[in-house]
Amino acid sequence: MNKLSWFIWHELKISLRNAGDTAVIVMFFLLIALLFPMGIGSSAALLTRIAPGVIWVAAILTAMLSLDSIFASDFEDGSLEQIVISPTPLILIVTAKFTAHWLITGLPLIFAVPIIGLIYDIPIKVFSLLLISMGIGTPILSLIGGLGAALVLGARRGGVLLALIVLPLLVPVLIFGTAAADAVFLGFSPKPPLLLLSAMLLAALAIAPSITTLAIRRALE
Amino acid sequence: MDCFISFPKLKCFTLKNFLRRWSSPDPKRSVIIISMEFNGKNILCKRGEKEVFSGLSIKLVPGEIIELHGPNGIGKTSLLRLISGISKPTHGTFYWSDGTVSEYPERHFSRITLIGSADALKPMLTVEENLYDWTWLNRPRPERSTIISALRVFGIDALADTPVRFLSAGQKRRLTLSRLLTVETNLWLLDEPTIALDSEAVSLLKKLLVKHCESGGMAVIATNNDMQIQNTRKVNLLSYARSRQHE
Amino acid sequence: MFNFLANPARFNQVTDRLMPATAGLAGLFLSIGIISALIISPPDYQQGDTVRIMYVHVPSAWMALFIYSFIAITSAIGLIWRHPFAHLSAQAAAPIGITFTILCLTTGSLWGKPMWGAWWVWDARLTSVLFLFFLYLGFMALNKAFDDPSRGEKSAAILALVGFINVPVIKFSVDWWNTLHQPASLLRADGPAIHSSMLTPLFLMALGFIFVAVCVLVTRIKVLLLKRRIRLMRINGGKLRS
Repeated sequence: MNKLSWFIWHELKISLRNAGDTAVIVMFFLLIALLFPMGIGSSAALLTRIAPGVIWVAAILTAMLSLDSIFASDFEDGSLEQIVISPTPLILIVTAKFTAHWLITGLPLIFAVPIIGLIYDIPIKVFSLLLISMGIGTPILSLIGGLGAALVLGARRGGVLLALIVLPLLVPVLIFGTAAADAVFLGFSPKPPLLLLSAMLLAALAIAPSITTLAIRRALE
Repeated sequence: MDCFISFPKLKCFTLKNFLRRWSSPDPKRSVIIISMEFNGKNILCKRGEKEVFSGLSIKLVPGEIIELHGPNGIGKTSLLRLISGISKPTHGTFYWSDGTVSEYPERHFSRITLIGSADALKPMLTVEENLYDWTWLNRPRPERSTIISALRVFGIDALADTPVRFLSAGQKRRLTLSRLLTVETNLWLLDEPTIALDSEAVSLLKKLLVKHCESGGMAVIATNNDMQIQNTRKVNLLSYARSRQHE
Repeated sequence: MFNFLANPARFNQVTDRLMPATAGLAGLFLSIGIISALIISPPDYQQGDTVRIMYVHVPSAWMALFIYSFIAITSAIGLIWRHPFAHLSAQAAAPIGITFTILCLTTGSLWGKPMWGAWWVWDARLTSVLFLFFLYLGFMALNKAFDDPSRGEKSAAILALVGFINVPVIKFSVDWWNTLHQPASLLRADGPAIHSSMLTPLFLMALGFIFVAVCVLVTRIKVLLLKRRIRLMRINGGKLRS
């Protein structure tokens, strides 16, 4: 096992032993998705039509909930200082943290989507496109969200502030993630939005970890 | 024309360098202690925007211990953070005999161990896992036996499989101090190391410090209790204080 | 230029001398601009007198983008060369930029009701300007969120740089997407598509806005410099270091 995978495992161990962290996140996701039918009525056709958007909004809100903790506990207990002054490159640990965050909070959502799919009666073609767009899009939530979390380290009311600065940056993910699944309803090809989403993922992979290391160093200085 | 702005030195970024840092564990050179002097020249320290002390110069030769004294708020912890490289001095430089800290940060990081007031322990992980992961952060992958024997020195090897959340404050302190044994470094930076320790552990720490110095190591200890170790130089930060309340 | 002005004493000295002229120019351009926009320029053959909203709407949109770019550039300077003056100018510019963004959104909405029949439509140009508003808001909130002001300005500077991606998106949103908002009529490869009787008041207003923004910016920088000096005096026991 190399160093990167070891520290991904390190993060996973901490989250998995905080019993039910992942379960709470998935429940929150399902709950938001279940609130919409209660708010806007139970017209089956309407629910099917809005399902992709609802699922993406729920995914982004769920990410907001869990992002707070990605660096905050390490910042408070001094682990982040120990990481910064170790010879291990900071970007390796940041990458491990992002990966672990996605494995704990992003991946389970994709597995929870079928349940919502049944409730909203999503056609199978829309459903498969939704899964693909979630697969490409949820890592972006971890990357951009993690960058935001590093920026608000040590701030007052960090959670609200995090939402204020990260949500606008995540709107393109919402737009193209939903557009890919909506393409079936509208009769377009889903390829362009999926390609744009992939481009965003690649851009986020390229810039988010390095800018996050910069933000962390600034936070500790 | 004006020295308000100076260009930073950019480190050369090559693909080879990048791959080396990602694929292999840290280079072997970091494991060997080479006796070397550590210097700080004309240091100005700020806490936030408050200037705490200035004009401080320190010099550490192999085998030497410096005890930092002074009233609360004088900047003992701030100085340790500066030396460790977490924060950068507003003025002044820190350097080893073979180069400055800011030019070779990773080499500097492989030569220091900081035991701060925050314990950096994960309550959900066991004692052994905590020490193991910390050690691997700083060195090539450690052997389990190294970890266990370090715990044994501090008398907490029986707790190896206990999650840290069940430990007392003193036991946690012993665990953080056992880091000094798994990773060999030139310079130990200890922030109030004796807090929560019983007399047995304190004398153990002293013994370790003496041994560390005999093999060419150095230490900076921020404390107001005299550690009573031979060869210790005491520095009172009060004489460098900037603010009036300490004058 | 930046290097030269970054010394607070010199900044005050230079701007004190230039301020009356700048303020005078702002008043001059604005008054001529408003008269020619509201009275002299002809009504549009399709939009009638509603077109006069454009003389406020378009320059404020330009200013919103221009000031955000200014913030991004000064933030980059502040991060790379660690110069407090750069962060300070970014901080001073943000409220001005958000004011122009609000002005742009409000006038656009007032124009949209009679023309499009709705106060707001979800079109790419409008949405991206709305994000610009939230970016400004995030920048200002992050600046103020820390106990140690120097921490806030660094975090906010990083955010400003990341958010800069939005600026080209706003500029080209009317070309990339099929939008309700009309495409660019001025900065086009084949020359402006507006008659000069409307172009002149538009440029006069834009010049007026620029000079107003410069006046407010300089005043705000001065205020922030003084505030910083007072803060440093308070915490460092009367020593004046800047």
